[in-house]
Amino acid sequence: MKVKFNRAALAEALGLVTTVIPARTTKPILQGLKILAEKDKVYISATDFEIGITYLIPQAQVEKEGQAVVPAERLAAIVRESVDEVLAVEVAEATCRIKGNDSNFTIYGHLPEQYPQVPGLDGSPQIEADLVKLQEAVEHCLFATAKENTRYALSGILWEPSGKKLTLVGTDGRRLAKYKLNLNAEADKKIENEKFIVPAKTMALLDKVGAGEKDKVTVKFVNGKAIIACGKVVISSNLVEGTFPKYEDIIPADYKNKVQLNTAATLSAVRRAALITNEDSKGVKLALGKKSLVFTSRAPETGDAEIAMEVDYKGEPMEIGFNPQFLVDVLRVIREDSFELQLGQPDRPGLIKSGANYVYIVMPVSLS
Amino acid sequence: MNLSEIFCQAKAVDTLTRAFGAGKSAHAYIFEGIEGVGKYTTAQAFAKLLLCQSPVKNDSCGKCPSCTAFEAESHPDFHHVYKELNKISKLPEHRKKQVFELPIYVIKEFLIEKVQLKPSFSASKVFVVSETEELNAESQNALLKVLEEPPNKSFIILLCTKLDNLLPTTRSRCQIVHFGPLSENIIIEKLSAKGIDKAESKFWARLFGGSLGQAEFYSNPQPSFYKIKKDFLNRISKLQLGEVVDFAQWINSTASEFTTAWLKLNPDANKSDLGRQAKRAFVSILISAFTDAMKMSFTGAPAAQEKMTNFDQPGAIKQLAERFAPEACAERIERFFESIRYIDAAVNEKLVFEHLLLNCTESDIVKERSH
Amino acid sequence: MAYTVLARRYRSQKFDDVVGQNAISQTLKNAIKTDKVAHAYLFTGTRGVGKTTMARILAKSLNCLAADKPTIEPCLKCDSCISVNTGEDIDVIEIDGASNRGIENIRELRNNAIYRPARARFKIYIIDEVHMLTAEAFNALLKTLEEPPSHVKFIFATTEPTKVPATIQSRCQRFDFGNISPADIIGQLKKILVDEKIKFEDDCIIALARLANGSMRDGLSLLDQIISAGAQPLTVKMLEDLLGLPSSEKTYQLLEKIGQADAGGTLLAVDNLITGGLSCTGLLDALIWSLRDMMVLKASEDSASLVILTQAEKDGLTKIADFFDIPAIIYNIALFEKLRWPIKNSDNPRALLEASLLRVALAEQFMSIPDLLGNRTANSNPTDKLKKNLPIIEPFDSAQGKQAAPAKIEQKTVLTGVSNIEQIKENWDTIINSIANTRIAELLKKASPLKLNGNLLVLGFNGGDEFTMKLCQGNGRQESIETILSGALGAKIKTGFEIIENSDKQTPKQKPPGAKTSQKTIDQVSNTPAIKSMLSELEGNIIDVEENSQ
Repeated sequence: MKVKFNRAALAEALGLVTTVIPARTTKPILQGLKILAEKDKVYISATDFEIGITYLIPQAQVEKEGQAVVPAERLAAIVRESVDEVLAVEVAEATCRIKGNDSNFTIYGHLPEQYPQVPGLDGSPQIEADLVKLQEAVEHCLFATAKENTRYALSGILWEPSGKKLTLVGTDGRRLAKYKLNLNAEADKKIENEKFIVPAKTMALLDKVGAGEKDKVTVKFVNGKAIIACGKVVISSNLVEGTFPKYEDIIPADYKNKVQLNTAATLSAVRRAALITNEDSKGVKLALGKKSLVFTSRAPETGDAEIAMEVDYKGEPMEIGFNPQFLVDVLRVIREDSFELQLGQPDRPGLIKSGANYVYIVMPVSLS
Repeated sequence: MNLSEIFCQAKAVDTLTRAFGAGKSAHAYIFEGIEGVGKYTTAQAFAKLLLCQSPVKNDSCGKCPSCTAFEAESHPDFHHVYKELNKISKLPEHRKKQVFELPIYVIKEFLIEKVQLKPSFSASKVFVVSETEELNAESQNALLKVLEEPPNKSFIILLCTKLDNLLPTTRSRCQIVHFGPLSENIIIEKLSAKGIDKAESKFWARLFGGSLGQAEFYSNPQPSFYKIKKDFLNRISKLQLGEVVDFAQWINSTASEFTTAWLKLNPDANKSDLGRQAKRAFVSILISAFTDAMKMSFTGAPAAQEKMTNFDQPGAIKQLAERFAPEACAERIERFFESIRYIDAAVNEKLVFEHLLLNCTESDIVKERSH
Repeated sequence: MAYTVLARRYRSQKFDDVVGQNAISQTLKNAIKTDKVAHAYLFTGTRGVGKTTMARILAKSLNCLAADKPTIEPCLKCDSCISVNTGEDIDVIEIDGASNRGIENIRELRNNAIYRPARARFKIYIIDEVHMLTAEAFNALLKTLEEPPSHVKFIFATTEPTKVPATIQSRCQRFDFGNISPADIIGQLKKILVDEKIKFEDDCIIALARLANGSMRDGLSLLDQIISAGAQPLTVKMLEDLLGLPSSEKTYQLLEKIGQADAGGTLLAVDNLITGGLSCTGLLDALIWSLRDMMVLKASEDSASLVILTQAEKDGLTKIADFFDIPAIIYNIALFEKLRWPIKNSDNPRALLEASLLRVALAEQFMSIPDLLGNRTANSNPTDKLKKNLPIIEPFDSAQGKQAAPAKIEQKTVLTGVSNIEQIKENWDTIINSIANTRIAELLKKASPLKLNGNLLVLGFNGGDEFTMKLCQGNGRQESIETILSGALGAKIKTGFEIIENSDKQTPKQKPPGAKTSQKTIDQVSNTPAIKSMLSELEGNIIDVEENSQ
């Protein structure tokens, strides 16, 4: 195999692909990445058995077709440090030569036949959407997934396709984020109303893929795997086993107390109130009155804080406590200038709505 | 390797295939049996079957992508969990540790976390956990949930040499498949294929109670432990009080010679483990000799020789039997077992062997000293 | 392929279904009815008695969405009930205490506990294996237990309540789940088999229930295993084959040999069991259980509820029970129990097992004298029972190569008729050396003949050998000694034993093992002429001095 790469393009690809490479493994071959050079296309793929990625490298010239497995970290480092515009990579058996203007590297890899298969997108996709939109939806849900791993179903994002809509949900049991995304076409009937849990790690990887305005993303669920193809990149990932909680039950539908709030101002107010909290103080109190929303916090032996905001509110006066971090997280991802806060009673969850697509539920803390 | 190719565990294999055939494979198994009788090999073959995409007559097909990947040792749904995995743990503090038991973080990171993802390839995932007799209470407790209700389609096989080390709560969640010792003939056949002399093969097969693994280990010809054992027993059979100290020294230095030699063959092994192994071998031989002598008193020489471990040194055994009555043999065997514990506990080894050898003389000193 | 084991499939769903824990079910039901559910429970008991099952039922009852308050009849259909059953509910959080045992895990739990439940009435934490928590974690938990938010309930389950600190226990309602009775296990197993349409023999279920040893899950796991073999009806033989269990028949055979003091037979029986695929611990366990059952049979008139045995097993045990009296059984159980540890910790324990059983067979007398005498009158062939008292082993005889005949005393006559004690004293060593029974010879070495009154020979022991004297008296050994001495002295002899207070044969108090000889003794010794010359000839040193009493 012999290929001439544009160094910058290769470096960008390697930046993404190497995030999948496991740092330590019992199977050393997984620390290599596979290069496949076809007539006019060069693919680089990597896998850790759970997530696989294949990247179509732009601006590569194939001089001799073939495939190779090259140690990923070494190759990435060489490409990163090189100054050439073009790097020639030539592989025979398991020996890889990388040539620049003034440089000549030889590194030893593995035989490509031994490299596990990295799944690609075969057959027709089941879901199609704009990549930018999907990434936005993912960002709106990813932060709410569970970080601790006692309940694995919560460590991923739920995908629920239905008609021309795809619902993504993330929750850790204390808050829940739901984003409804418009698809470019109706989802495949076969997966109508099915539920898939995609690991947070995979979603984060998808979020990192560089996206152009018009890039499309297509998705297929097959054999317990999600295969996500977007532009130059195909990501495959094992799904999470388990049942996702029935999120519809958790989203209250009967709230009458609603108030429209400015996103930036609220974020700033919560952040300032959070300055006077510590491990023992349970949260920030929101006191909603006719004309004002007052954020207060108090920490024993530390002090207290009060931040007032003018609002236009017509419902009953109400006091409720929240973990400030849970508010900060959501206010950071909301892109609209304003959002709606809905409240029931102090012991029922708070609800935040942004645009037509996004709902966020957060459990209150009792302040007494 | 396929299940049908497992040559020596017909009963265990039969249990597994029958359950598979009836669609009743349990999600958690314990494969129990002494070291070196094919537990891991069988677990692998069984895993291959469980993962196979088109099983043929209750065995893996060997052709489907799953079988191909399995044979290439790169099946993403087959997970082998063992204590040294700590070296590739996510957390640096775990990587640095010297592991003695099977630690909880290995179980968590390489089993409990992995079991939550759907299989990539096959309909199920299989986890084989080695040396579960080394699981401490913490790790076993951590395993209970997955053992009882493994996320769909997962199978967990625990390999264990000492069933008693597993908590009742662990055992009660698993089906236990017993792996008996291998027949002498099979071991002889396997060792002969490697060019080991038949008499020697027979001796090791008997000494280790049918463990092919151990027999293979000790029958390594370079250097030959067998030759040493013959000298050893000849001396033991007529050991006098005055020789004890020198002889103990000889055993210790011989043991360390073997340790060094074995370490060369197997550089990854733990040196002190190998050292203990060599010393334990001497005690095991001693035990076998006294057992032979004990039995000889009941069955008579020619009959006993048939079944003796040290059938190759009937003279030495006869001498022992003449010097020690069966009850005296039995008493000494019990003491030798105690010595093994001392070796494992790294008690001053020179003293252990001196004490041991004093037991092989008719001296009364020993009796009074030992209790 | 996706087979769900019986223990999971038949996990009880309602309070009334839980087998063998009626009192607890009833108490919890009452608590729910009267709205007096505690905020924390501690469920204790061995494996497989229904702790987690009960915890889940309680959780479902508290949170069932079909009712508007806690109910004793959860609907089992609502999403809450369903997800509690699979342990995946959002408000019922199952945590295993072993993998989440640290303080950081409990802090996390505390931080989460303050959030209200997402959809149900209560946020319920079920912590299994709670005894695994670290001390710090327990302390952190204590805080929450002291002032729990009203929406939080805790259910702790453990197999080892003693490892749960008292401070935690005192804040929980504790329920001790008893072992499930054999009858309940048998009932449940049969019910399941009928449900599953599987044929079975009653004896097999009895054996299963015995192996389950009070745990329903053990019983069900075993049942699964035997069902998966695929043959019907289920029989005891299948069970034994499959699990590598010793047939009780073979175990009893071994016990019989031990009881008869047939050492060779004992070894053969062991060999027979082990080549049958039994492990050494398995064999030991089988012996312990058989002895236990034997003890119960002997001790209790109405033993039906205490032993789980088939009729054949009962008959078998009763047959060999005559070889052992109850103290001997207890002694042996204790002995085997002690042997278990080294056996289970050895890589190749067979030799140890054989050696130990041989010693048991040779050294111990299983029947007390009254029992023996009682049997002698009752039994037409008393000599069988008396074998024990006779010397069993002849010295190894390679020329003949035949098994030593255990039957008759072959005591050489040393003296032909005795009249005075001096004669015996003079020949005492010769007499002892002539005794074929090594055990008795050992014992008598410690004795010296004191006086002869008619045919009563009084043997004296030093104060330090009182134990040896007791050994000579006990367990029918005295009879053996009398028989042997009668043979040796050529006259009918009775024996008496005595402690010599100030005997001239007094031996110095024995040094503790390993103690050094004092310099004084060494000096004394090195001054004797013989030693002096030896030391100078050999250029030796004295490092230790031992006094030989003879």
